[in-house]
Amino acid sequence: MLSNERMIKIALLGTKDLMKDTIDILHSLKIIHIIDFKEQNDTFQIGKPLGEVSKYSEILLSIRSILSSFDIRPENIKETYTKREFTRELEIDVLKTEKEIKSLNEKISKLNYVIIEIDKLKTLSDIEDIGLDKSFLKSFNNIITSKSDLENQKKIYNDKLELLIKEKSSHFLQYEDFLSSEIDKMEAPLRFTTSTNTFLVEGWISENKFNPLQKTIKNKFGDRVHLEKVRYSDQESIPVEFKHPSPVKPFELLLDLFEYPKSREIDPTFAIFITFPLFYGIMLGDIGYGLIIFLSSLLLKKKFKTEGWKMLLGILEYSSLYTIAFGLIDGEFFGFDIFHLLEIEEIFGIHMPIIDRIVDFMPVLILSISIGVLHILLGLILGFINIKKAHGIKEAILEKGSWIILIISFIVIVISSFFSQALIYLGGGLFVISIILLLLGEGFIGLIEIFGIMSNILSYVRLMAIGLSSVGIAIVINSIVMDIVIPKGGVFILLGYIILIVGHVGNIMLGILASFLHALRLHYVEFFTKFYEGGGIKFKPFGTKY
Amino acid sequence: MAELAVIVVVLSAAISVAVTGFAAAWAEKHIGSAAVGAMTEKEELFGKGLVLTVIPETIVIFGLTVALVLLFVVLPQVL
Repeated sequence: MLSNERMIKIALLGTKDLMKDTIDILHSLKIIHIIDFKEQNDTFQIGKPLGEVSKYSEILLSIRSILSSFDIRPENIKETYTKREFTRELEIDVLKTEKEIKSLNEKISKLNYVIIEIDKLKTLSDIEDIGLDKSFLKSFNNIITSKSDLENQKKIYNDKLELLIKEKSSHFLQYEDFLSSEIDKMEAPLRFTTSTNTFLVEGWISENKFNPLQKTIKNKFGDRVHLEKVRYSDQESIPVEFKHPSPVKPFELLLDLFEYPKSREIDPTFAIFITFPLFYGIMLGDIGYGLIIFLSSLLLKKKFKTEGWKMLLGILEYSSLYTIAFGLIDGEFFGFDIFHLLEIEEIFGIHMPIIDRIVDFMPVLILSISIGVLHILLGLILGFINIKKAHGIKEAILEKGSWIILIISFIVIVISSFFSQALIYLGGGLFVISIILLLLGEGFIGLIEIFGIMSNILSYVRLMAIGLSSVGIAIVINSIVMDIVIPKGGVFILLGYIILIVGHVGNIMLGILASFLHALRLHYVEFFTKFYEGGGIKFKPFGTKY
Repeated sequence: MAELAVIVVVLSAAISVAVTGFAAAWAEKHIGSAAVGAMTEKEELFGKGLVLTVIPETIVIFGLTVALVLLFVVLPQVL
């Protein structure tokens, strides 16, 4: 779960006459991340594109402009749009339709121009006063009355255009798909190494897909195209392909926003999956708000189908469940003290609400700081593993181990004040060891860094503070409406409800944004700085659209 | 004497929220405008810009914590 797809480097070598067929195969398999060839010299150059790329690019551009100006998108098309084999007839049909659309558009814009000019003429109503000939005035009036004819004509064209678009939009999408992949293929040699008679493709492929590829190549070309594994070092930028189970998948977005992990370091997505919604839930913690976010993200998921939106809504959906759970613990429903209002004293023998975070903010504060200590400890441990893998155990102990021991010593000292005084000696001993390690590892500057880590831990106080401010606003809205506005009666009752709705909608917006950003910040600034390097590249197999 | 102490504690709480709030806003103003500037050049920076913009909010959170401690921990002892 924590490890990603293992990548190996391959090289594919063949004679130039087989280049096109090879590209076709690689494009349809979609399993190779091609490394662009850059170091050209006299013998080896980048390949030349196959066919007339510029001509096709132009067609693609005009197709795309039609797609975007009429807002044709796969999700807007009702009929299932199949990616069946592209036929010559379809191509001719699309190009013909494109011309028709263009000419219709031109006619409509000309008509528009004439109509606007006639409107301008209309404003010259005092034209009779300047002593013009009657017949001239008559023709003038004729022009003005002919406006309705023009408008009818325009409507006919518009209807025709709309019908055409409706009928052919799936064809357009299909053609756009076909063309862009075709251009992709034609331009592929630009990424290859070529000599006079041969070509060479270098790329990355996940380990378990190597054998199938070898078989395919063998079947198709025999020995004329050669595929082999190439040796590579850890320092090369190996692309990363995640393999996460579907509930964890949305959280990849948060790494996308930051930086992709390097292939040799620990992928933190799973850790984020556990802690991000937890932080979000602690901060927002309201049954009503959680339900609204949950339902709206379910609804919006149907509307927005792009990858990024799906991931974002997935994160929100998952976080809203935690929000509801913490809402139950805090006993909050749109800022109302729900258990108090319903006169529920206890559920299953547990006093409700478990924590009233407005009155009892101290427990929440201590909880927040404890979570901070554990989260940073986790970050340091991940950092320890990363450094051990890269530079060995000694560096790992000096660089991260000292901090881990320091934090553990603090934990032991705090615990000792509750349980037994004897533990304080253990804590003190650990503290001294960690300081020595710190001085060995980072020198005197390490001691100053202690303040840095302290402020990191204190930063988790926001888990309490953000939540408190969100509840505060909700309570203010409720008390303004319930205690001041509604008791006045009459129109004020209506006004009260308006204030209630507007206020809570605003507070939900603020709550979603603030909780999200602050949970994110705790990960990026406090957590990631303990272990995360980043700067890796995403695995983008040749043949996929991007 | 006790009255003076109460006044001082409450005033301190007010100052700690007000001044840190102002400081956070002032810092965010600069970062925010820089982030928007960067975004016009490169739209993918939206995520990073947003996160960077909220970083100084820590200041006001510390201020709020100090105020809460003053009001709920220190004040009862003075009274």
